[in-house]
Amino acid sequence: MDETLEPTFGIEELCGLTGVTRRTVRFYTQKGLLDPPEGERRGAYYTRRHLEQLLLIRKWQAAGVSLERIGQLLRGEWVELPPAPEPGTVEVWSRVTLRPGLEVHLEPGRLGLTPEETQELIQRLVAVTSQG
Amino acid sequence: MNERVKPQGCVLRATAISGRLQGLLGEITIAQTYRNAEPVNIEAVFTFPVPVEAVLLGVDIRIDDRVLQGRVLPRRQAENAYEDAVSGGDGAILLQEAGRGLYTVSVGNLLPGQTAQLRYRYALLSVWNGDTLRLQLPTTLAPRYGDPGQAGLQPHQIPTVDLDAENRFSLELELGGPLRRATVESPSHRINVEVSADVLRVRLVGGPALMDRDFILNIQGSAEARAALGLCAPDRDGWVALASFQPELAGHADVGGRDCVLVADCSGSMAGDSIAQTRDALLAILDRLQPTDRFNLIAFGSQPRAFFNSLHPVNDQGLAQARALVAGLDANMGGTEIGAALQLAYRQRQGQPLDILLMTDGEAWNAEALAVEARQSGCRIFAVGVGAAVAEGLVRGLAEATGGACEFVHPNEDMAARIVRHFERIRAPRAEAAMTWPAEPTRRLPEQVERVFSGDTLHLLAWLPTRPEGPATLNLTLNDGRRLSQGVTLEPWPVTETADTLPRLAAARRIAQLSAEAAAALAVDYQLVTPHTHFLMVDMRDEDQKATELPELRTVPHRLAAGWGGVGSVVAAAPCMAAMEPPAFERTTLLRRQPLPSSPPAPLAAPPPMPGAAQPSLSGGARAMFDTLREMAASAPKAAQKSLLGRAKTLLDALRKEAPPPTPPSATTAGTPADLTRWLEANAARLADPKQPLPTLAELAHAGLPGDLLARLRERVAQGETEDAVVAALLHAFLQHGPECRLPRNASRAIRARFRKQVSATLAAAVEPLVKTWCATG
Repeated sequence: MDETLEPTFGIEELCGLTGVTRRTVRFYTQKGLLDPPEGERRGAYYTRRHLEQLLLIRKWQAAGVSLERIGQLLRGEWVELPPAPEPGTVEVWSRVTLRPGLEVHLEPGRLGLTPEETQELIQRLVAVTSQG
Repeated sequence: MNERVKPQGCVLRATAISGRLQGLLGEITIAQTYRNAEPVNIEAVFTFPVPVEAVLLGVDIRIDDRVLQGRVLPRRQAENAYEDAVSGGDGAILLQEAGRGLYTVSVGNLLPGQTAQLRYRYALLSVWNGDTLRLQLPTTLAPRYGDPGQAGLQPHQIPTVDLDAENRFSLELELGGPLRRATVESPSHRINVEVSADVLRVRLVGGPALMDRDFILNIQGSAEARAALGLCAPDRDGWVALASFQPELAGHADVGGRDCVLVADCSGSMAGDSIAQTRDALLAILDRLQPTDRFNLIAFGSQPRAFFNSLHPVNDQGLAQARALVAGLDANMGGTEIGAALQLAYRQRQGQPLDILLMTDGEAWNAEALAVEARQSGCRIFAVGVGAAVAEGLVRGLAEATGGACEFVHPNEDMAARIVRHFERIRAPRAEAAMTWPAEPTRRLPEQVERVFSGDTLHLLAWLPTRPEGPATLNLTLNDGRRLSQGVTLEPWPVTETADTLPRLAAARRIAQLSAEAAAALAVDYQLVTPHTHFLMVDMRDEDQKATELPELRTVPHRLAAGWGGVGSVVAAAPCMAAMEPPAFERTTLLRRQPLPSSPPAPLAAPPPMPGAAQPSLSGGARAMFDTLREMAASAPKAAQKSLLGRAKTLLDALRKEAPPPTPPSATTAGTPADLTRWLEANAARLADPKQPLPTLAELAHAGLPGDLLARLRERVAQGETEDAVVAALLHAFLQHGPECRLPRNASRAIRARFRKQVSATLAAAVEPLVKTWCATG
């Protein structure tokens, strides 16, 4: 094989290299996590890029990252995660009863709400729920 | 590619369940219609539940007007052929077993405008428990705890759950043969029963129902209908025979001296109906322990907690402690780590056999690993599955693995009666069973009968070299010395066309005991869908009909199970039994969902009410709330940064001014009248039933009766009134002065009847002002 050409893999080969079933490879493609194969139908083949994507998906999955989140990461949507609270962290959560049997738990700091906005939110919630 | 963007309408257009039960043998058909209304080529994927004991006999496929045939192949071969077909642009349908009682269907390359109709035909071998045969047809999968991947599900098989999924099913059941004169009732749905000379037809009232809860039919049969069953059919070179007996072992003296650990699931998914039922069950169990028994109580969520350090003698002090603890149980212990809880239970064993009574909704994925551990423990597990959409596989698997038994209790059914049955089983004398067949079998299933419980059907299979002539006999030797014997004639299978049903049913029961290789070979031979084999249909298309693009994935979501995790309650008005007399009539069993808020749904400007909301899982009002909350969450304004503490403080000030005051958390000693109202509404069925005892003061204390009022009422009991009379007086006064209580009329009438019968004028005069004061101030 010409060394300037990127190595390509058939589906069986890709599955053998990654330990992922054909169905799961296709599932990741349908979910938009993995790029579609090159070529048409039965002549489809995969490249090093696919292999890397697939190994990355496996790695993140094994670490317990959800498929939705993996999709965001792969698309470069680095949505900032709230820092995981360390033991000893104090957070003030407010528990507001809208009506008996219905409560809202909120942490305005994380929500990024001013007190006025929080107040408005609660008022709107109360208004909605009192009709229900 | 975002899966949450909903294409127009669900790809699963209709589900029709039909079936015919002929005594213990039945055939259930589930028909699903998939339609691609989109402009693109799709692959529809649906993971759906069926009864754990059902054996798939075949799949009939129609795509548009064409009837297509498929067959069962070894797993790897079927998967590859399906992938080849999908990537090659051909139509294909793959059916896989995703776990016990769980199947995944993939409809690949469903082209725009195409409709695929799939009919799955299952054989079902039922059992009698006492005089009742319970048919439980699951329709939805409740969210389960744990990792579905570790339970063997492939990523595409993992079911999704949607609060809005509008899946509905229609139902048509026929009961024939010995069941045609049975009495039927459904605790889960309103049903219409039509009786003719040789068949009894059951349909849903009001057309297709939402797939958010199991359909349950309790069939009560006379002794005649429950007579032993003997069948045989040719199977390859020989014959296979089935003998089913319902042994009665009554009349033994219970010796007591048993060890019993009660294990209660207090995980989040148990909230609402399920945890309330579990508390009832535990109290019923505590009442039935013998003074010579020993017991312990384990509650679990993410962690198990044993109430005593080791087995505790059954004495007044121990029982009182346990009752108090039970009253405080709630579904607030987190995850569903059943394994850790059972291991703690196994460790309680001290010198003699240990029985475990487990109460759970079974909503966890690791069912098979649990069953293996349970088998090794040597303890018997008597499981009670609770909730409107219980995970049958886990509950049944634990009982079967340990020689115990399982019961399933819908929120509208009486928990105490099931517990009593379990206790009868636990206390049943050990019996040794020996089966005599007309000829020496080449194989038996089970090889050894390990458990015989009075009133529970026992299915025995044998493979015989020649056609059996003469009866099959079950001989039981009880450990109190009695001998019982029951015989049945083995009739040839009546219908030639379906004569392979029995051999296939029998083969399916062998699968679990075989090595993977042998199981795969047997499953292909008998065309059974198992963990080792899949059903595959490939529709080779002409070149111009082939799909050119990979199909887009459309996963069919499940409706969130009714009552799951406390989302609303499924407890309905008391179901009433009705005699089965022609002509047709409409059952009065009303399945009224209790909406989340306590007022009737009001029209709201924003979201439209659901079409055909005959049995919504959430009322219109609650749905509107969810939608509004969702919108608000999406559009929450971003604020300038301030110090966290400062903002929180201002927020709290603001809330104090603007929001209604938060109600104090309800404790057992400081409930509000509203708490008691809710409790009464939740227990309406029980209150309406004159055969059931009135609630005790202790129960009502837990339900919200405040401590001071409770003390005053207890004084009355101390002065010589019966507790029942005091409770009747209390409830009567509460219905007059308390918050509006939406009890069904039969419940409030039952309370009034008890009041008139049991309560003296003096007692009524003493109790009423106390209740009135509490209702006015509480």
